[in-house]
Amino acid sequence: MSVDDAAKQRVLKAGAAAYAQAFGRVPPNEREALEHELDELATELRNAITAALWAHPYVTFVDAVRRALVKAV
Amino acid sequence: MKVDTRALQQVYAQFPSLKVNTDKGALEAAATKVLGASGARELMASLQQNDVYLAARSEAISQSPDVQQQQPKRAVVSGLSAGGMLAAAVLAKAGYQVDAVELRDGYTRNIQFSTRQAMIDELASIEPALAEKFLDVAAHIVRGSHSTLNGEKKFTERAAPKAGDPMGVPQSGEEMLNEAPITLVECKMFERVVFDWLKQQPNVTLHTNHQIVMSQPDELGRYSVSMTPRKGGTSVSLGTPDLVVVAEGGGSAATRKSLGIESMATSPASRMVAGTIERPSGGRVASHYVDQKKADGGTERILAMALGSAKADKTWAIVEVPTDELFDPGPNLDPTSKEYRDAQQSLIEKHFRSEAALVIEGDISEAKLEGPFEGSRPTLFTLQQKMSNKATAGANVLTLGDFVGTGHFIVGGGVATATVSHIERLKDLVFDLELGLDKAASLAKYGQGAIADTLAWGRRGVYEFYPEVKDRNVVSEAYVKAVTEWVSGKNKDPLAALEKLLVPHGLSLPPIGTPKAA
Repeated sequence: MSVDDAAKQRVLKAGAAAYAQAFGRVPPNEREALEHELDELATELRNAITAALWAHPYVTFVDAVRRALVKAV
Repeated sequence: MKVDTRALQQVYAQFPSLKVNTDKGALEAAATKVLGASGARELMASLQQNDVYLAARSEAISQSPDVQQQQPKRAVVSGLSAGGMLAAAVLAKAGYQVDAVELRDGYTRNIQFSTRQAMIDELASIEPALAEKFLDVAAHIVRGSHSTLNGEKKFTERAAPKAGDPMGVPQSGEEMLNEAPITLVECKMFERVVFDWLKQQPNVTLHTNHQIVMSQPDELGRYSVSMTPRKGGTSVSLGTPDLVVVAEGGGSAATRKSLGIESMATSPASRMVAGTIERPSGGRVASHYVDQKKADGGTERILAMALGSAKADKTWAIVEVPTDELFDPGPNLDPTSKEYRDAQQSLIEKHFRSEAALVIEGDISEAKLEGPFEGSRPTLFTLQQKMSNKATAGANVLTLGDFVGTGHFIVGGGVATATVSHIERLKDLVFDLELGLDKAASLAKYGQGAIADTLAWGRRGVYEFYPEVKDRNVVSEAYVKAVTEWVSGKNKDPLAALEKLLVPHGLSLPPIGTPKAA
């Protein structure tokens, strides 16, 4: 794994954990609907989620949230 | 020639929307209905001079009491940013009983935006006092600058704002956006002014902390509306209004779905950080471009823009984020921890400071930062132009402002499109309904006009997403063609169509229509 890939994975993990912590559920099917939800969040959580979405396809982010939710249980 | 004020009052009594509409053509049509052809001719002849007309109009309006109809028309406005609030104002003045619904419980947006004389004129056409209050909180742009890539600076003179002229309102988005912005205002200050004024209007009921839910349309195509408290609770029916104005902003997916209105991206996505710097700029607007080297050896154009009203102690800035910037604080922190997120936020703010400093032209390393809302911090957002395929739904719904579509912030067109151009279309619609014209046709006319206004905003800034295409007009024309064809069902994806049109003009493949991959 390159340095860049490792950094991308950390950003993904951080964003997924932020989403799981804020909402406690799997994100909506559409990215636009998720972005609408972010208006309610504290900046650091919102930015962690946005950074993850910028670095990865939406489906990858949703899978990462699923994994974060399983760990949280 | 003496003006027959009583005749004018009679016209306003039957066509109350003319109290917020100075269009002489509309007045003549209404006068013909009320006074007959010869009476209308006589009245219009006496009103030829604009100053005479405006004075007679003010007198007639001030002397004619608001007519309380036994069964007033009803309207619901959802979303009370500036556009929604002005829509509520126009409908109320036209005699509608208005329920105005807003999700928030206050106005806290730190965003500053530039406005044209058209907005002052628009406010004056609705209520002269509103234009005066706007000028209390807005300030002249004393210096507009644009820094080019080679470090050269261009300065643009900005005319001083004038008192509102109700007859000066441009009739389309194209016409309105041809004017240069001349004032700067903090969004929350402007919204508070309009909200406080709206609170005093007799036939407007304000419902903050609520959101609307649309029913399925009935057999006549009319949507019913109910509203629910933001934090849950009992839903209240608002019935089946004559008109529903949806002014909820660009991201309102639930309402869009219930209305069957499709929205699609009409530009690639750019990554941005937005926030305020606690440092006044004394009435300046500045934009700046820099070409940055990427890790893969290519270059990337980074845009930063700052707006600082002379009546604000802060400067609002939006700065672009390079595509290979991840904002990762490194392997020493657990990515699921608060410490990681705090460190990530610090990286975001470091980038924001460094780019914003280029525009502000000063040391802001110690300046306090805030985000787009009071109490927030600099925030990442994705900038992408969008468009709806229609701006009306069923037999009683119209949409307004960013809900219709969005363009690039560099144009300074968002608030203006909503509060000037779409509001002018709404006035036309209400007048057409007073005239007894077919409602479906009148709504369709509104929809076409509102889409055209938003298209005018979109086409002016879309070149920002395509720096590799040298001719701005090529991008602009391709955008109009691609989006217009999508709205009329001739293509299925306006962005794909746009990028196909740009390939012969230097757009490199693979397409960059999806958010630029890191």
